[in-house]
Amino acid sequence: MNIAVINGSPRGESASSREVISILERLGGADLQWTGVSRLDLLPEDQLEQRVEELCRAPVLLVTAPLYIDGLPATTIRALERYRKACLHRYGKRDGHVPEGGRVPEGGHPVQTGGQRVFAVVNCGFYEGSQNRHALEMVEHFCRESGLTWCGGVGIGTGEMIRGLKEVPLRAGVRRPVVAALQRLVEAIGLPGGRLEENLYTQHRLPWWMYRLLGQLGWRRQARRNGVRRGALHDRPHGVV
Amino acid sequence: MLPTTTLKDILVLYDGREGEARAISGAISGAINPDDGGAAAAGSRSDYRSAATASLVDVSGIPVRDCCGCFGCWVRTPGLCILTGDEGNELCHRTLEARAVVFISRITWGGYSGAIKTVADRMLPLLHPDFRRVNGAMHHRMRYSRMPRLLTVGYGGRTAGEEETFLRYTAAHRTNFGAPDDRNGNSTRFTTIWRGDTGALRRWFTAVIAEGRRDTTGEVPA
Repeated sequence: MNIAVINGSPRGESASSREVISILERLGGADLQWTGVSRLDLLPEDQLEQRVEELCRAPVLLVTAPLYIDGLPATTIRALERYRKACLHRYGKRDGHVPEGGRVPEGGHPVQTGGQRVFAVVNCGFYEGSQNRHALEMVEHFCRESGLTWCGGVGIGTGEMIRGLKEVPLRAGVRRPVVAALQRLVEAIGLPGGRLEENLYTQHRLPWWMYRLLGQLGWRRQARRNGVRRGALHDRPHGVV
Repeated sequence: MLPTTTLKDILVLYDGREGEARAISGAISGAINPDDGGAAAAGSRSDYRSAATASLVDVSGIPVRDCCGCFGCWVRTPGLCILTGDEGNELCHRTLEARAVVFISRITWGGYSGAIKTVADRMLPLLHPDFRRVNGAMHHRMRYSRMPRLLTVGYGGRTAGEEETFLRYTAAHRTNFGAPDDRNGNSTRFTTIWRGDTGALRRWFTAVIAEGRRDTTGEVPA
């Protein structure tokens, strides 16, 4: 089965959202083929149509994104807007329905049932995976407006660790809750007509205080590497307010 | 905390390509400066309101690039975005100077439109990378001890569900932003949905802006 993937992260190929796709590829095995695009918002117009055409043809669309300021990043919003518009252009219909398998009936009239199944994975740097709930709802509303079938998503907290644990085996304890949720996602994707009954919220297995501690040490380490002087992390360049 | 007299005004951010956004920003401007902006708002004018001015910024008319997610504003040039040559850092500066910031946005799948979200994303330098707990959930610490109020006006939602998401989402934005009004809950009264009624919008704005002023974020400078 072909899975179209829109990686909505502004960081493109180096993003945690891209690493999530790699994990899904490993979990999905040979039965699932993933065709992805990063930074759809930046793709030149002349390549857009062909690229979206490929994506539309897959029975499943997966959207991955990081959480920016509590919602989808501006780049993801723009990517999804482009996808929706290109679908409308392609089918020439107001609701942009894309049928399962991407085959459009004669005359380009979209079918009213069985639109492309859509899943989403959103990750955030906060501890609680549930903080991604609004972003997942946004993808759900996008589906409703575009005539696509929303099938649920996964919200991952402690997102900074997704790339940090890249070299750690998937079965390691610390990764288990996240990998288990992604496993359920892959199973739903692979099942014809499959969906998640509800959104799954999860985070890596470590205590709140430890994540906070590791995170804050991490910021300081990065700042030191960049030559930022000690204490400058707290700078208030706009004045003393 | 600075005395309120040094706080300048109300920063209104809108997408000038959209008629509704122009109408809403005009109505708010009129409520603040009745003499310049049309009919006077009903009710008594507080000292603050009579001294206030609205600064209307059409975000479609200024260069603002998308946040690239590099965290440079935390670990490279703390407090400043590394993207220069556009208005990102200036918008942060103006936000800190303002008493309230009003985001006017087309409701796009229950969130902000791309143009407005670009501006919201670029305000990350106002936050501190360290974490704190607010109502049991992890958020960023505040970099500054005073943040403006954050008010939101949404328009163009297509379904009730979208509007409902917008109310909850903007409340979460306020909490994350450290807006003083909404530290302790998920209040949705600082967001309103525009339905073409200028009078209703002005009444809402006058009411929320006149509420008790709690200006500090509760953060102690490091």
